[in-house]
Order: sequence, then structure tokens, then C-alpha cells
Amino acid sequence: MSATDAAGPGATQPVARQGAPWGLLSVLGGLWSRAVAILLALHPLGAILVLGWLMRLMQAETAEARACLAQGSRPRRAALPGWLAAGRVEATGRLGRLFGGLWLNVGHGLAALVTLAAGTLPFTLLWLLAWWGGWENSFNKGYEQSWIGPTVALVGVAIALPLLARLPMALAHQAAEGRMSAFFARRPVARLMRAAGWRYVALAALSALAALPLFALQGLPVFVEGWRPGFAERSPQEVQRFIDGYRLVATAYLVLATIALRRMAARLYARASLALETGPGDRGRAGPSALLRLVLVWTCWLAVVAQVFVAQFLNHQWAVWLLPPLAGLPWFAPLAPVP
Amino acid sequence: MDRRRFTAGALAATGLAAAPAVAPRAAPAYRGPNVIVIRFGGGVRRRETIEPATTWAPYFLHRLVPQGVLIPRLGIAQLDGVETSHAEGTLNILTGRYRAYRNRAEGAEFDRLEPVEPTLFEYFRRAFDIPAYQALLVNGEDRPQEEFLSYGIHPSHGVAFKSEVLSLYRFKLWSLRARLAASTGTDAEIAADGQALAKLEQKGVRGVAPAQPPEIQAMWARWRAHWGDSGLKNPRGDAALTELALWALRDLRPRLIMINYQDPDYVHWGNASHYTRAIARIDRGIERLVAAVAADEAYAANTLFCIVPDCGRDANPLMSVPFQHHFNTRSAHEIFALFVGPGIARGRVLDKPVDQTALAATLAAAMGFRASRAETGALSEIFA
Repeated sequence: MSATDAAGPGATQPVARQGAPWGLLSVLGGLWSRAVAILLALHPLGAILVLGWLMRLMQAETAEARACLAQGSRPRRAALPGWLAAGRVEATGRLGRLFGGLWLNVGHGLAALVTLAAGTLPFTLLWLLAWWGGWENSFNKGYEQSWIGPTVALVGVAIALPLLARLPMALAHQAAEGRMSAFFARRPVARLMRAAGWRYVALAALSALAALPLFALQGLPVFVEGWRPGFAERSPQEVQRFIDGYRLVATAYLVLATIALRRMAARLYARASLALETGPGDRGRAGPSALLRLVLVWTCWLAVVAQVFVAQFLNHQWAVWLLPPLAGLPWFAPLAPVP
Repeated sequence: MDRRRFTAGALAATGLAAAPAVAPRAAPAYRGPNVIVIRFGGGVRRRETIEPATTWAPYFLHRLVPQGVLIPRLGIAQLDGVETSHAEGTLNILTGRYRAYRNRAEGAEFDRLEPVEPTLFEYFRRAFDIPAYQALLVNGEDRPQEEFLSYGIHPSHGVAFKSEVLSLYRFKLWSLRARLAASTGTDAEIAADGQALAKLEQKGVRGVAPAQPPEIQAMWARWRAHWGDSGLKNPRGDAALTELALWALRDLRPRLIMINYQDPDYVHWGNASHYTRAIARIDRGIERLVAAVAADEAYAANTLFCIVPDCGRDANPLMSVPFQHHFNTRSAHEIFALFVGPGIARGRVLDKPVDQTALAATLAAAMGFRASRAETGALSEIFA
């Protein structure tokens, strides 16, 4: 894999540091971009656009990090991609530059949706079916088949750990390469994970920590009478206002945390890909240390899976089974019917 | 029973309340109505039961309610420490008091609420010469902790006046003990039975559950002859409770029996349809029980039904499954009750706030004794 390959065919050029007035504009632009992302992610269809935008961000972040690392400097954060406009490298022509970003968000979003579905449905569907079937059987006292629900759930967990462990690197690989098949490149992704070293363990640990607030946000409504006494007595309008605000806060956290984690994954990808190209030949090889790191990464993701199951015991939502926290579509499963 | 007889019964019972702590065993024979208390349990809301547009209990609402007195505004008081849950609500009904229990969980998986006040069964058996096998509690198979509802530890009543429990848990205990006593099977089978029995006994019915009276053991023997002891042929869930109650009516002729339905509680795990399907299941159970009573000459004209939930369920607008029951919302406190039977007014709606603790005193009055420790008086308005 070459540096050009890793940067991807449509990668954004590294962005030079800006002067003070431009810096302020850049900050305001970043806030605006994040606000748009949060608002779009309130709806599952908008969340697909956000997914595409995040893929473009990873692409840009990878390019920026590779450029910095190649010069021996610390990776800088890439500018957030535009929601409507495309970068110079991403699109040609006036119209393409003006509105190409939207088209790219749609395209990357759909592509990532497909690869994420392929990468997560093998276990999320098992979880969903295990929960439905297991409790359905329990309700009907089907003692003869009582083992099926828990067994299917555990098989789902066993499948989930390796798939979740590779997911951040596989997404970064897909973003950098700009093609869906890169997500499924088993050996290259495995080599990149090994080459990323202990930083990849840290990313998994951060993912587990970052999922905790989402766990809390799912569980808190159960105890609403504890922190908002008399909530059930509120008018439907008041309840809806509360739900809207709650969902906005939850979505804001989800989007901001996902941005941070995807940036981190992209920088790790840049380091790992550069290391594989320029480092000693044994980088990315399997060994005891790599195995230990892999076990730790799996353990971190097991903590995420545990959060999913405990949260579902607290406050069950069917959609949550299909949306592993911070690893799926950036959409907070609704508290009430989707608007 | 009319109002005059009700008042006379209540007054007569007052004398019983002043009786010494240890009752004379020459208690009078019981000549009052048989009473069947049905816990519409596992927690149900008014919306899915007594509201016509949204009910899942059509037999109960459309056929049975017109035959008796419906109390649509029965409630569980909003007091500190009053939980809207199953054993708690059942004890409100049985003792006529709130918080009339102590928790003997002692590290067990579930709470074990031991009544500290007399239950209806104890009042009843203390007042009249009724054998324990005719004062029955029918419990769910996976709730051995509800064995604790069968008697309390109040010094004036207690274990001497307990009810007997019918449940698949009790049947398994009996079956294993019978197999071990007969010493049939290989050594390995006997050892396995011994282990299974020890495991069941550890589930904790106040230590080791004592053997049940011969009449109940005879019923278990007939149950085993009919259904086997695999547990796989007999009805399951709340359908098993209906079946046990029907067997009890036929074989044991109880004078007071409480059936603790519970299946709606499955909704905890997220399948909302389990809640509504369970309500429909209880509805069918009630229909079978009423039909069995109507077809039995000794019961037909002399049996009073009291149907009441243990608790309501929440209406949490933030949750996709809004009806849990542990969070103290108003609707978890809102329940109902129905009285049907001899002496009860027909087609009446007692449309006023009534406390769940009023049921114990009301049932006691209907049966001719006084629930002296109940904190709420009897409802005279339900009688014709």
C-alpha cells in the first residue's frame, strides 16, 4: 500500500495553519459544521449523511496526519469537510466544488452504511433475535428450548468481539482508500491493527469509556420520576419538549464523541500505514505482544457489549440492538416515535 | 348477604378480635360463602383491563363486571416506603395494611417479604374450624419467594393458622420426596433426585418446606398420575395456576383460595405483547374458574369472587415499553377491584377512591370475621 493509496483518491489536501482572522473563521466554521452534524443526526436519514461526512473527515485526517508524520512533525487536526462544498481535490468544476460535498456525503454515507451493516449485522441480528426469541420462549415456558436464547446471544458476543475490534481500522482503511472493498480487506486491516501497537488498545479503551454516557443516557429515562418527580403528569406538549431536548443532548454527545474517535482512528491508520511502508519489515507481524494487545482490545469491546446488554435490561429498545454504540450509524435510538 | 347481615357479621367478629392470642381449637364451623381471590397480577393498568376501548380482558370486562360491583378507582396510597410491586401489593390485600412485612432476603436472589401482620388466611382459620388445605394460596412456579405470603409472624396468629400453598414448586418438592422415599431407580438417579431436592429446598421456604397435609399429597399423587412429573406435559405459566386452582376446587374444596397470577410481569424484558397477551391469558383463566364454580353445585350459589391487581404499572412517556412498575408513577398506584357473588350488588360501579387495604376488611366482613389489624374499614356499599 502506497502513501497515495492510503491517502485515497479523493483525499483532502493538508490544510496549512491559518492566521488570526482566518483562525476565528475556522473555529466558527467548525462549530457550524458540528451543529449541522448534530441536527442531521437527529433523524436516521440525516445520520447517513453524517456517516458520509465522517468518512470524508477520516480521509482528510489521514492525509493530514500522513503529511505531518512524513515531515517528522506531530499530526495536526484536519479541517472539517464542508456539508455542501467539496474540497479542491474532491471535486472539479464550479458546480462540483459548490455542491459536491453534499453528493460525496451521500455517496460515502451509503457506502459506509453498507459496510457497517455487513460488519455488524452478523452479531447485532443475533443479539436481537436471541433477545426476542429467548424471552418469547421464556414467556411460553418452553423449557425444552430454554438454552437457545442465551446460546445464540453468546454466539453473537463471540462473533462481535473480533468484528468490533477491527471496525475502527477497517473504516479508516475504507475512508482512506475510498472504496468499500477496503473495509473487508482482512489481512491488510489485521496488519494495520498490529502496526498501530498499543495506541490501538488505547482507542478501544477510549471507545469503551466514551460509550458509558450513552449507556447512562439510555438508562436515565427509566428513573425519570427520581430526578423529575411528577414527570408522568406533564402534558404531552411538555413531554415532547423534554424528549426533544434530551434527544438533542444525547445526539450532540454521540456526534462529538464519534468525531473524536474517528479522528483518532484515522491518525492511527496514518501512523500504521506509514510504519508498514517505511518501518522495519517485522512491523505488523503477529507475535505474543500483538496477541496480548488483541486480547486487551477484545476485552475493551466486551465492556461495550456488556453496556449494551445491561442498558437493554434497563430500558429496552429494539433499534439499539442494531446500533452498537459509537460503532454504527451515529443515531441515538429514539425515546419516542421517530419524528 | 345484605347490609344488615354484613353489619351483624362485623359486630360479631369484633368479639373475636378480642380473643386471647392462642385461639381455642373449638372454633365454630364455617358456614359463610366460599371466597376466591384472584390476583390480576404481575401488575396491570386500568387502561389494558377495565377501559372498554383498550381492554385485553374482554370476558372480565364485558361478561363478569356487569354481574358484580366494580371499583374502578381502587388505589395504592402514595406513602413513604410503599412499593408498587407484587408481593407488596399482595400483602396489602391480604393484611389490609401497608408495609406489613419485613424482608428476609438474606442474600437470596429475590426479596422474601414475611408478613408481620396477620393475613386473611390466619384470621379466617383462627376464627373458624377450617383445615389448612381448605385455605389455599396458588402461586406461580418460578416465584418460590411468594411462599412467604402464606402466613405471617404476628404473635396472635402465625404459622398455626397458615394457608397451604399449591404451586409447581410444591409439586416438585413432593414428587422428589416421594421418589426418594420409595427409593426406586438406580443409585445415580437417587443421588440426582437428592441433589435436585436440596437445590429446590435452598430456594428457601423458611428453611425446609414442611410436608403438606395428606389431602394435598393425595392431590399431588393424582396430578402426577395425570400429567407425569417431567413438568413438560402440564399447563405452564399462568395457565398452570388456573389448572391448579381447578384441581383444588374439585379435590380439596377450599373455602378461601387466592390465585396469584403473574404473567404480565414478563413485559420487563421488552416484548410489549407479553403484557397484553398475559392479560388475555388471565382473562381466559378467570372465565374457566367462573365456569367451574357455576358448574359445581356446592360452589355455584355460595362463592364470592374478588378480582384485584397487586399493583398497576407505570406510564413512562420516555420509554418504548412504558409500563414497568417500580418507579412510583401515578398509574402504578391506580388499580381496580371487582366483587361478584352472593349478596354482592349486581351491575354497580362504586365510583369513589378506595384504598387497596380496604379489601381485607371487606372480605373478612363478607366471611363473618374481623380483620382486626387492618388499617382500613370494610366497604359496606358493595353489598346488595
